[in-house]
Amino acid sequence: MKQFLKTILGPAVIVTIAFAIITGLLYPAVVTGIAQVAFPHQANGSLITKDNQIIGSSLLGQNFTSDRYFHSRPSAAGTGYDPTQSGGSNLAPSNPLLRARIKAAMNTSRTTGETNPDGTIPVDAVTASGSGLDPDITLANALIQIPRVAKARNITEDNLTRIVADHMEGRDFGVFGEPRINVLLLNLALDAGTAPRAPAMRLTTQGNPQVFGVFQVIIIFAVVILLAYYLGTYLYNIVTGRPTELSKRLARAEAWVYRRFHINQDEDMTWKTYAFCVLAFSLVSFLFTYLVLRIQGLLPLNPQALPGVQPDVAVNTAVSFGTNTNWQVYAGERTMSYLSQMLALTTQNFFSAAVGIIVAIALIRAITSRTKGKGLGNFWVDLTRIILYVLIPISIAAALIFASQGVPQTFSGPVIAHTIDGGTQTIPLGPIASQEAIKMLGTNGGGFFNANSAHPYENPTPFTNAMQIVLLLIIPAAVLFMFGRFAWKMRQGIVLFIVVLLFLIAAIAFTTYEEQLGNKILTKNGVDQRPSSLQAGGNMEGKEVRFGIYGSTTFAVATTATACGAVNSMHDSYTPLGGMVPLFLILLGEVVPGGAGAGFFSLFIYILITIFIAGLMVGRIPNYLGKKVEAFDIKMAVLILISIESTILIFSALSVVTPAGLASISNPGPHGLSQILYAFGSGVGNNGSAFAGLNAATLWFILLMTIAMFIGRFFIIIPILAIAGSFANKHIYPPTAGTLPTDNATFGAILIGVILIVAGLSFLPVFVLGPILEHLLMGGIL
Amino acid sequence: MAVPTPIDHKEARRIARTRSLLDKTILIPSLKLSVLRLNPRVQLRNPVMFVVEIGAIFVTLVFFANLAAGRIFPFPAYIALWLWFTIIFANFAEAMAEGRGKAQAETLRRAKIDTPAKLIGENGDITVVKATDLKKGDILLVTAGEVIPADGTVIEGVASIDESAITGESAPVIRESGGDRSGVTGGTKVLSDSIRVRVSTNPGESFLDRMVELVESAERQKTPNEIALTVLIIGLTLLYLVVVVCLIAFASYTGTTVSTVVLISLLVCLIPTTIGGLLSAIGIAGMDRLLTRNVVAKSGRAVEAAGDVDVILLDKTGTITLGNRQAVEFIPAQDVSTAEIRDICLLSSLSDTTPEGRSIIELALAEGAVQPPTVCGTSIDFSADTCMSGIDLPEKKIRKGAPDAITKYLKGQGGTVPSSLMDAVARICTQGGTPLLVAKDNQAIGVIHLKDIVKPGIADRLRVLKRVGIRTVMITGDNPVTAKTIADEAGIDEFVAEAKPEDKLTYIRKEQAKGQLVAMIGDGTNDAPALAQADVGLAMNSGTDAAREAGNMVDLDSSPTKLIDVIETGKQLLVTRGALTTFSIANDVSKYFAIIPAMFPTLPIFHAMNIMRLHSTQSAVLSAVIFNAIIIILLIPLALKGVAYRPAGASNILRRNALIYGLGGVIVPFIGIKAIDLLITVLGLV
Repeated sequence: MKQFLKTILGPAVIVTIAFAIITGLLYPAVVTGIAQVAFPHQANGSLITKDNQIIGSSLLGQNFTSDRYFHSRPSAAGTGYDPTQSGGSNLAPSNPLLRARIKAAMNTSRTTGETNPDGTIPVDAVTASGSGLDPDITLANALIQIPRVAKARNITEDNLTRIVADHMEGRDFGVFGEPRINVLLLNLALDAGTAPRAPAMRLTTQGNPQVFGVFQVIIIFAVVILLAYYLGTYLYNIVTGRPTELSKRLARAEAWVYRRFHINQDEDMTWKTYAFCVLAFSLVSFLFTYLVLRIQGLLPLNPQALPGVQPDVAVNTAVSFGTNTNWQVYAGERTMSYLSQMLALTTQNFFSAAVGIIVAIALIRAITSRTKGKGLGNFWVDLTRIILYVLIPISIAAALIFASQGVPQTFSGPVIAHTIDGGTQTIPLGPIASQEAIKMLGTNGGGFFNANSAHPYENPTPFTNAMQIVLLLIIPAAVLFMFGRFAWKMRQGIVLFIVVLLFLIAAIAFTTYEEQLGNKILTKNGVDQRPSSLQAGGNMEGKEVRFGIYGSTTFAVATTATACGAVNSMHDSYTPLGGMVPLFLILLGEVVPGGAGAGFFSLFIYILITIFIAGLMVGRIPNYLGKKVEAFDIKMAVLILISIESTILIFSALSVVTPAGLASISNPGPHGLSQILYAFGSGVGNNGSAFAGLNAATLWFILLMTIAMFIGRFFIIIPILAIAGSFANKHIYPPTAGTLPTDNATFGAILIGVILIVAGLSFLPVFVLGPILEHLLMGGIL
Repeated sequence: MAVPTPIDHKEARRIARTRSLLDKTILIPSLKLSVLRLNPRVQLRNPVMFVVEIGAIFVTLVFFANLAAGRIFPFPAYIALWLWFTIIFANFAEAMAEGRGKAQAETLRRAKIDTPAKLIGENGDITVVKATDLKKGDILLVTAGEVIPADGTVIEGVASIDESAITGESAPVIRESGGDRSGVTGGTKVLSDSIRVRVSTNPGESFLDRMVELVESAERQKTPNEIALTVLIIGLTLLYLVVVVCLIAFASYTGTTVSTVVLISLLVCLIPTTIGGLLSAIGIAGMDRLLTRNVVAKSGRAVEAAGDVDVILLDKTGTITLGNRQAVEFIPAQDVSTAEIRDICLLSSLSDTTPEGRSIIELALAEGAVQPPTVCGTSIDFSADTCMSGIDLPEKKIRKGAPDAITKYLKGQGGTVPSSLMDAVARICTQGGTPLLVAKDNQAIGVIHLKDIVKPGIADRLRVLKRVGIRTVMITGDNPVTAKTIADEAGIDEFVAEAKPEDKLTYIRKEQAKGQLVAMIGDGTNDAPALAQADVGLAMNSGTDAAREAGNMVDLDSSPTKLIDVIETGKQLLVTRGALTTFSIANDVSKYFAIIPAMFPTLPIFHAMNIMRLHSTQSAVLSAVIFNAIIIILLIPLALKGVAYRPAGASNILRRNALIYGLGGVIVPFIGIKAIDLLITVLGLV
């Protein structure tokens, strides 16, 4: 017991406090300092002042009702463009309310004549964005408003068209995102009476959005592969104690820390010790987070003077962030003080990501060790190194790039803007960039704002969007390459990476196809969802104009395939089959590639089962990298499979037959089933994204989700560490010509089959009653 | 006392090997057993089938409940019937495997039963008892013409024994006390002399008895790999149980209901019944197949390990080579004709009864010598002192022997050895052969080249092993040069030359420390520690008692190359398990597509998903259930005979089996279910 206190609980407390200071205070402070000096305008919210008065932010949309102004898209944020209530409508494509809203909008447009020449209306003109703060409209949407504005301002339509063309923003770097027009800036220019410069016809030469979309995806993946490959080697060097530029410099400080905190740096832990460390550390950091949230009212850095967080929400949030889920039952801008965002949540983002990564490392060490009976490594050393040498440096770099692109990084409180069409906007600010970086890098996903990465302050440009996708994919991908290094054969890791890549590509292709086709009901009502040179088209409900379909679907797939859970578009509003893909990826257990670290060890379950079946088929006792797969390993793997899949299914089943569960459903019919299934899939998978229409802030969901997140984290980690312990103690059988090769296409193909059948098929019946039924009822064909 | 019925064992084994799957003597008891074993307490041992049984009981109750209420719905009756069939088919597979194994063991054992045994008491008096009453340690007297009543060790005397009852080999063998050939098997017959035998097993503990236990499902211990596989399929079963139960809630949310009968049908179709039903049959059948090759395994674990062997240790003599050196060439001295040397050699060996001597005669005759009429002369037998043999004829003295011995002999006679012959001697030595110098009077006139002859066909068999990644190691007492020659010729990967008996054990330990699984075959007392240490230790039945105790398998034929068969059987066992598991899991895809579109009657919109265009709700569900049952029957031959094992690299095997059983497992049921649907529609069952 004394030993336990000294070597496990003691370090847990000290490490939590030490890193809370480093990652929760120092890190945001450093980023703020640099950002405030280097990019003060962006770091303070890209605010626009006119006559010494703040009139808004160039990144946030505003409400315009006057005929003299171009109008923004419909907004679901509060009463419209309320930055304190960011979010989408979360209406399912099949929701009658959506149909009613569209019909009303259509009628208005038809009476005012604001339609395309063929009588249809550009989709973004009638759909609400995901953030409710979309600053942009498409060219097509601007075009239909030109006659009205021209008439109201008494200028020629031709001149107005040219002014609009002047304000058209192309794709970032010619590739990322979609062409768009910032409504506020355009309207300001009109008010200022700017003369047109552009020839009118430039409005229609934007190229085929599909080609650019595909190109954008290719570039993102090329960058991911390149960075992940090198990061894999770097991770390997870091965790095996090989000197790197950074670790050389900090080696003495690191050693001092271990000595100071009674951490025996050379202790090679058994799986049980390692597991105790994980549990103790998680418990301490959970209590720490809970405490900070509860007493935030008494603490500094609380410009909005928010009170302490309610106990149930605080427990749920502490578990949620501690398990790397980042399921949010609260709206950040209205609940969390800056200090809570930093000290409680940012810190937990670092912790939970690091724990995921190092458990994966422990497992990898055990699988690949060439000496029987070696331990899994040292929890505290791994934790320290991963946070210090990997997460913090990359986060600082990413946070600064984000800040330069317009993600605020300030400790100032909210500002009041007097909008130009005669309203006011309360604009919340904060240390957002620093949290945004680790939120993506650690595949955490907990947004500063309710709208998460759809919010223009979290994800202002198509470039930051691409960057966020890259950030959330690199660690999960790098872990696979690191595995290759550990296994002394890169091909072992590359095969797994290719399996993952195939899933991702197939998922992106399928979702994009469905979303680009759009919502049939909208089409029937005269909404134009076709891609053209004027608009990206597709199902734009819950999506931002700047990201278009490709930027949104790629993000949606990446965030659900990893356990990230950040969203830049509202998955609840996806078409039935388009939304089924993120749901499917979550239910697979987030293994392609899964969360930072967590993805690898979840994938390992399927690898074990594949090895077991395939190994038998070559006439050998199944063996992976020279270690035999035995009954104990299969037992643990099956335990994990059953606990995660049945938790999702049973909790969902309970929620659809109890009034408490049913009350939270916001979209009627089969979509409601998808909402519930998504919620528990997300909880157990430690994803954190949602079909966000579901009202999760009820006692029922707070309770069940807390349990689900807990099971999804520790019912995987503990058995996985047990497997690691078993692998560490196995005999090593050098491979021969008769050994099952695990680094070729056949193995990869069987692995895909096992994932699809074992994980995918268990959910087929629910899929049929959820998304597929919704699809069929909407008149879709299979 | 009944005299054992003489049976033609060779014939019996031939029958076993080709034993038809429809053999009535096995088929009918198996059918009976399959029904008897519907007892839930028996099924509890196999959780997958137990779930099916619970389902079957439930659906049966539904049918009778309806009947009692005066409604006759044939659908639940059909489903219930086929669910019962599913269990019966699985039971049948197991019973068949068991029956075949027992029949096989019985054939081998029959000879022993009811043999009278002459027990020697402590004071030397002899009592006649029944063989079944013999205990370990009893001393028996067996004289010429009697059948040895139990397995044991010769402790006194030497006898020639007819082992054809066990091995099918008609040539009698010599068994004697003290040596490596002291083991005797119950059921074999003493042809000459009398021996005292110490019984080595208690009744019911002989290898065959143990073997029978291994094939009896109730007694059978599951092997480690089987346990792991069982865990996996039980896990999948639990998972699908949750899936199906939760479906009730999801359906109720959707505002539709699903009939319990359909839900149970879905559950049974999804859980891995194919592999669940055939798993124990596969294990038992592996034993059976070994037994048809006359190998008795003492544990199932050993059979599994055999499939996983990395290194096999082979004795040179008897395994790789024919066992004796043979003459392959006569090399004359310069002024000697080939005919003369040939004839002299023939003469020198006329009275030489050793295999070498016989081979010299054979070679000479083959090269055209004429068998001389009776020769009058004194034959000089080989002795350890002189190291030579020969014949003294009236006109000449002929000697042949080791070059050193002959050189010394000639020196004594005042003769010399021409340098050309010494060159030939040296050449033969470097080739790994054994030279014999031949002398006539005081002149060396030629050299006989004796060579170890590699068994015909052995190189091919070893090549097969190499292809599947198994390393072969030859152990020999020969010098390294000779060992290398043989190793190269036979395609052996490694050899241990000038090996002492304990070197085997050392070598095995060394390989095991490197993580290799080692198999070996042995017969002598010397071999016992190595046999015990090896992962697969195949003892020859002719070997000592110690060896047979130490090994985990016994080869009744005492055939040294049997190890290769054993390895193939082990691999086949594992492949069959893997293939059927893959097939079973892959089947789920089509069953989903058959049942799900049909299972929500109030949602006809799902007919869009009925890609197989099955006739109706009921026909779809029934077809899937029938397919699920019938596939078990169809796969019984595969489970019993094993998936054909082709020696090839692991990648090739994997690709092939993944395509056949994985992809095939996805596609076949689509066709099968559609066909059954057409059939039952035509028959008007639904």
